[in-house]
Amino acid sequence: MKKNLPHKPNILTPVMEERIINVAYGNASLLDRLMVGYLRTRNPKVEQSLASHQKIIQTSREHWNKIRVSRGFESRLLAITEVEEERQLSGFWDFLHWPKQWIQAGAVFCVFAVGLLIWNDSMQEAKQRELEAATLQAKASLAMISEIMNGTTQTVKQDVIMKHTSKPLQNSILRGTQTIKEHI
Amino acid sequence: MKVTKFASLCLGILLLSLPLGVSAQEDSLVNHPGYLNLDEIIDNNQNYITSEVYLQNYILKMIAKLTKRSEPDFSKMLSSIELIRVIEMDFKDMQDAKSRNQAQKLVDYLNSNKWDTLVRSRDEHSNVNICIQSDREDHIYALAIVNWEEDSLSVVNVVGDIDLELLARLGEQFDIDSLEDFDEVSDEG
Repeated sequence: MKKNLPHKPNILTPVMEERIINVAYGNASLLDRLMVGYLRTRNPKVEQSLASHQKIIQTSREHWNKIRVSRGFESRLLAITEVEEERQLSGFWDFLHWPKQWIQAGAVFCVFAVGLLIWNDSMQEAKQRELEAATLQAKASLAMISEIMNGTTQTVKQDVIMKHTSKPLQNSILRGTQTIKEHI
Repeated sequence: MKVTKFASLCLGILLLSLPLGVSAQEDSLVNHPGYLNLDEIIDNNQNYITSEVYLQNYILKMIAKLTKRSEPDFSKMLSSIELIRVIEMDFKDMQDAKSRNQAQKLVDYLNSNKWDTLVRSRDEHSNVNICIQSDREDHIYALAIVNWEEDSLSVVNVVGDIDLELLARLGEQFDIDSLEDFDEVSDEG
């Protein structure tokens, strides 16, 4: 006759599970560690539970490391991206990031420079016209002087007063009036 | 920042010195013994002035540079001249006494100062006085002409090294009837 064996109680009570987890994490007290160590050799369920928790912990740690690594990479990638964006911005459009006062000053300077260029051009034109007019003035003045001297040519020999002038100078005057005569 | 301040300072000094330079030139010209002061005559006869030329050395030198190739003789003469000043006055509405009076004043001034009269031509209707200043026998450094004709008066003052022969020859070459023609050109410009 088959004798009913006494029911073997479930060893993996919640308290025991907590002890096993603590051992697996390394947080268990010395007594718990001894107890779990002894039970895992006697009860395969305890051994399986411990192994299972250790595996979970190991897997979690690996994932955690991966996450940490990936987060580091991500931050570095972000930093690189920002630098790249800054580099792209530091070209022609860099002035957009300048202080407002600088932009205003630059705009005023540009307006001033353009105004100066236009003014300079008009001044050059005015100077050119002024020089042309002055050239005409000079020529007209010489023509007038020549005309007056020409008018005196007829009487110069009689009326010329040369008491204060030297002979070379007299010759110069006479040559001058003679030249005028020749050109008439 | 220091460089900017320094540059601003230099620019400021330069800008300030430009009018001073021109002013210094004018002062030296006014103090030149050959300079004929016509300001009083001009002030007293503003309404009768028909044309006026006042060309100082800096503009004469610019003209000399411009015409160096095309008109070398003209350029050469202008480069040595400090001033060309011409005034023409017309006293048609007045009696000729006015122009004669002004002319006589000028001639008296020239005679009483360091001017030598080279040519004096007179007849009933005109009176021409050509005066010079010279420091050496053949070196004329100022010329003044006072030309009175009935109701008009012309005064010329040239300061600088003057070659009369060249001046007379060049003057003949320029086909310009009168300064009034030029005035129209100048006004248009």
